[in-house]
Amino acid sequence: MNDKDDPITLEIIQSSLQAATDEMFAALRRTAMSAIIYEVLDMGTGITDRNGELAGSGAGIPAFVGVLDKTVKRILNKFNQPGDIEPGDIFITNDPYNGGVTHLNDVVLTMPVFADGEIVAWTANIAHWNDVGGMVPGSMSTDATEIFQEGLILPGVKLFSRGQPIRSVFDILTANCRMPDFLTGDLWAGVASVRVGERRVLEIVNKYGKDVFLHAVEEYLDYGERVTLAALKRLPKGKFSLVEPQDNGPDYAVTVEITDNEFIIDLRDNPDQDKGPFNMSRDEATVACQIAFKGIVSPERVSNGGTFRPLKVLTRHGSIFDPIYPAAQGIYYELTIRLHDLIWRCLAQHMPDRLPAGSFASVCGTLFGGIHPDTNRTYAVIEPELGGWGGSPTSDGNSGQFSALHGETYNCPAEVAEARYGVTVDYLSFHDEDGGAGFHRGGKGVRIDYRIRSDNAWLTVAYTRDKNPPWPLNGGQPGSPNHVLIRRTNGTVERHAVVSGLTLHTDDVIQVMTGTGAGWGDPLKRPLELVREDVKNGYVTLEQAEKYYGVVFDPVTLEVKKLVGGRKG
Amino acid sequence: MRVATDIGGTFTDLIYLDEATGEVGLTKASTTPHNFAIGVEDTLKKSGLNVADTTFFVHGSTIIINALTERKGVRTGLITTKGFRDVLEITRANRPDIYNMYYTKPEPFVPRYLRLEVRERVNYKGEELEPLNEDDVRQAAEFFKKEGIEAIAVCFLHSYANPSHEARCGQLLRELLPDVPVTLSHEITKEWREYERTNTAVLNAYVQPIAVHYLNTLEKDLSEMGMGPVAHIMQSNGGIATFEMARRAPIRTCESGPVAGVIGAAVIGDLLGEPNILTLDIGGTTVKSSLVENGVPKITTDYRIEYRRDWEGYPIKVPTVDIVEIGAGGGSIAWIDKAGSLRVGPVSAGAVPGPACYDAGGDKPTVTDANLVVGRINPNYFLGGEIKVSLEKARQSMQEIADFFGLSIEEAAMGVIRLADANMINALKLVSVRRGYDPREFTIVAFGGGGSMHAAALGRELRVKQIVVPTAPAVFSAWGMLMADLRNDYIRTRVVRTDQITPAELTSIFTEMEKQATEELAAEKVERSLMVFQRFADMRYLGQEHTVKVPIPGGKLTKKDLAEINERFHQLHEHAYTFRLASPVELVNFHLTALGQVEKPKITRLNRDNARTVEEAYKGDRQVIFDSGFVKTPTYERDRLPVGATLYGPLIVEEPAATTVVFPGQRLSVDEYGFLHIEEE
Repeated sequence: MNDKDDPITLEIIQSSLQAATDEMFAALRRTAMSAIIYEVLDMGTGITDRNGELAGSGAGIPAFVGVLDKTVKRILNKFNQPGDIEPGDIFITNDPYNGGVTHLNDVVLTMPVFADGEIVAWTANIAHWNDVGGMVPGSMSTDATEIFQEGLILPGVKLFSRGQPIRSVFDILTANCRMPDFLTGDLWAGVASVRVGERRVLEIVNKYGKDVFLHAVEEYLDYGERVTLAALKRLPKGKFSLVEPQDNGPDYAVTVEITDNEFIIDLRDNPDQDKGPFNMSRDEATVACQIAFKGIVSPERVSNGGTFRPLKVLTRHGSIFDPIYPAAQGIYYELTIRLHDLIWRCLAQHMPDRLPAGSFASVCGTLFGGIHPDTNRTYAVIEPELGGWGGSPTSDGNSGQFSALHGETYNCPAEVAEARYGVTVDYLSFHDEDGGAGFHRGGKGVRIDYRIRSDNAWLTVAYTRDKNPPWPLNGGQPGSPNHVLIRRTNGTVERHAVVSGLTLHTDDVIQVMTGTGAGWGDPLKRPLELVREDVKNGYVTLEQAEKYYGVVFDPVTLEVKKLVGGRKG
Repeated sequence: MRVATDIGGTFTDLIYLDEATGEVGLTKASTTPHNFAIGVEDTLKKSGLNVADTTFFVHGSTIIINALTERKGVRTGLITTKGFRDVLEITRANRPDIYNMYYTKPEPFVPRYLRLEVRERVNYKGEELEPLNEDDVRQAAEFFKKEGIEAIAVCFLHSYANPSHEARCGQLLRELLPDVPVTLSHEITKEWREYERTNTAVLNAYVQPIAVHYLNTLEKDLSEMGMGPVAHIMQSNGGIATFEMARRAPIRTCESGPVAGVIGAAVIGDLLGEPNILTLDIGGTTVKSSLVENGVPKITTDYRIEYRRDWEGYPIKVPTVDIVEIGAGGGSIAWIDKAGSLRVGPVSAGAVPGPACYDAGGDKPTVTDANLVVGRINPNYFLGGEIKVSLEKARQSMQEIADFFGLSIEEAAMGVIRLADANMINALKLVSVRRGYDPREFTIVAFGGGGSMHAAALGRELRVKQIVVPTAPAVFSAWGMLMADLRNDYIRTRVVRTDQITPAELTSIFTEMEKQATEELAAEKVERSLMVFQRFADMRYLGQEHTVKVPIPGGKLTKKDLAEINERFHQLHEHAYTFRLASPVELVNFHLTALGQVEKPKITRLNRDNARTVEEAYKGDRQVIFDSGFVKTPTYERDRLPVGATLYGPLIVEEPAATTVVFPGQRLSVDEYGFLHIEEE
């Protein structure tokens, strides 16, 4: 049997590509300088075919899986003359209008892999850098009105030429960043990662030959498509629509049409682009749709360019999901989760076996920084927060888990945060706020208290699902809202969901409160024994048991004293 | 007489070595899950040994890991710092199954109402911010008593930096509840990250009463059989420890079985002058691999139970020999996925019903069935003929795959084998190539029931130097236990820049640990001259999180040592990640390995009858597929092969519990210890 037709050889090449992206991921993670990369894993790695079709991706954040192919295609488009791309070159971009997809903080590196003088693949990675300049520390501001205010723009340029770093680009980068040490470390981590990937791809090509390799990649993409098409057959067919009110501004709308071989997401009927940074590029809107699509159609791990072929995304140029240059896009990620949640909500009632009730569904991006009181170094915390997920027909929701955009993401331990940032973590546990009652409860939201230990610190947050809490299904209760309370030393308390550059001083407390997920089904039908267990465990208070579950317990013995609110038993 | 026993899922293995004669013997008895000690005693009786002659006894078992994975531990309570009771349930909040909206988080081993908080606080520098509130502890004790709690774990924030609050809390609890064992997190691990440390303490508490009961029973029974106080237990870190240590910190013995094989492989490497070893341990459901560099097994401090690529599992912060395990063994089932691709594993047919060829009710095609179909396994000599296998059933099981892909039965079986090989090779690659090691500098030591069956193909693919199949590969783990030293690991977290620590400070961090290690080894009756200490530091560039392990010289450190340590770090970082930086360098964790060397059995050269010839070992030919198409292949009985014999593949060597396959173009030789070596011609 010829190697080219041998399914087993192809399978081995495909697994090797997967292993290579995993190795790229490990290299980036283990050498990066910023917690947002090595701990939060706000990063992704991938290998594309020679045309920029995604052939394999590392673990991490689903939100980044679909980004890198779009970068490579843009670079191929821009550097289209013979000799423009040479072995050893590395390209860099962060420009959402130029293959950067997300926002300026996310920097993409990509490297061609040459065999016999011809490109056979690309390796690429993306990672969130702490600071890329712009109008505020951390570069993301809810007040930005143009992309120029959000930092240095890298519109797809060469960083390395024939294996050698281009000094002037490095100098421009470090000169435009508030934390150049971090930038240098994170940049080299990215370089290590694409180079490791290039080495591995070449090993595979050398072992099996170029033709067999190219054929295997093509086959793999077709395989991805076959998995999707087979899965599409099992979905309910039809046209589904939803209009949903938003915390700030006009409603969002989506129509999803599912046929035997297509999954069309129509976003054309959405608001004009935001004057501030609440916009996302068309590429990123596509990524949000890809995550939702993958989770609904075939959540198994395989995902490559072929997986997404049956997906069509329609947008309107000039809308929040496809803005016109130079609109700001710093807070794009909150639109990603909004769009993801919108599609989820639109389809959930039609696919209860795949989609639970609404979760806290916000990245809850929390940025604060200042001077570390023990080291006098500048620190910057940039983290997504954990919250509750919704109940489902089969179980209660998960408590204290990252949003759907974050997969293999780790929260920062209190012990590490206190040492690294010089803040005190007073509290890291579930809260008791009302919300999420149901036959199956929503998972618990989380309260985290950061006590600031030095003056003139700053805080920026941009949470959604504050005014419109997580949505229930089948008669459950909505979840609780996402927000932040600022407890000042003078006893005043401020409540925020969106704020930029708020000043904090010693012993002020940032109290993060994330939503409890929504409930599934009528709470009055939740079995008494389970409600008693919930009260015993403190997941439900005595008051909540009475108010939502219709059970009055003896506070000491937890015996049922009476049933209220129409509970039957 | 030195004796080792290894309790496995099906069999309890015993291996002994008579120091006077050099004789090695093996026995097996059925594992007795209702009381594992009986199985151990059965093997001792069956072996005919005079138990009173035992000078050294090592024991490995799956009791702890089973109690954890089967959730058969005791009712456990947890005490945490106020504000942190839910850390155990939140975990690190990650979701490895990234697209799955129905992901289910690991359920904590202690339910929420049994997680109590007390007021107390120290900071990351170890300074007290708020004293321990002893009334809170008393109330907790009262509640636990009322709830019938059988074990308690305590984990306070920053106890790695200052354990005094945990210690006082433990003292109070032991006074108030003298019958309830208490695990203090800092006694098991002094590393930071509160979730991992809390979970480690909880899991230790959860199994402690079971470990205590089991070890007490075994100790008493052994003593009644006449054994002196010579019993030891195998730990996950590759060393052995006394039963007393295992009663205190049973969580350190989770991987006692698999780890012993790695230790054994390192010993074989040492004996053969091959310091770089890849282990290949193939059992019924999984393949395990580990890497030994310069004679030293790799240790990880990131060990998790029940970890899968799509599930986070539960972390245990105990140094553990770094073994990669993949669901591909002899019993792994081959299947066709929804999109029409052939897959092998991770589901295994297990021992019951077993592969289709067992003819015991299983009809799914397994790797063993495929090996039988292509002639690599002798149907009349499976487990030395103890199990009768059916070639016909094996062939039938392959029919569906053959039909689906339009292949012959044999081609289908070869497809299953090649895919299984690809999965197995991933285990080998994950510990070698993927970490920057070139397999061409390594020797594979193959063991477990299936190691020698697949080693030749895997070794060829990876282009390793050679493959070694030790004597009795199926019980090699028990043999490895006889080769282990006493070992304790001490790890302290303290983050400090290399330009901000004096040599004297650095020295004192290690000498403090060495003092504790000396006392603990002395308590285990190790003489001072047999204690060996090795120092390491986990280091990184300022700003990085992850670290590189750097060896640190012994004794009193100087300024010059400090500079060398710094440079050593730069080199190791560049080797692993292709670059170095001008940034300051940080020390994070200080790690001391303390060995108490025990006398080990000499491995004797065989004194086989010189008159013996290869012809006497020859058992006849059979048809075997190596790459494609049946080839007439000679087969040999291992025990009858003469020392020094060299044979050329294709060939097959059989022994009762293992088969060694040698491919065309490979050479097999038998060394003076009776080990088989396979090399490319």
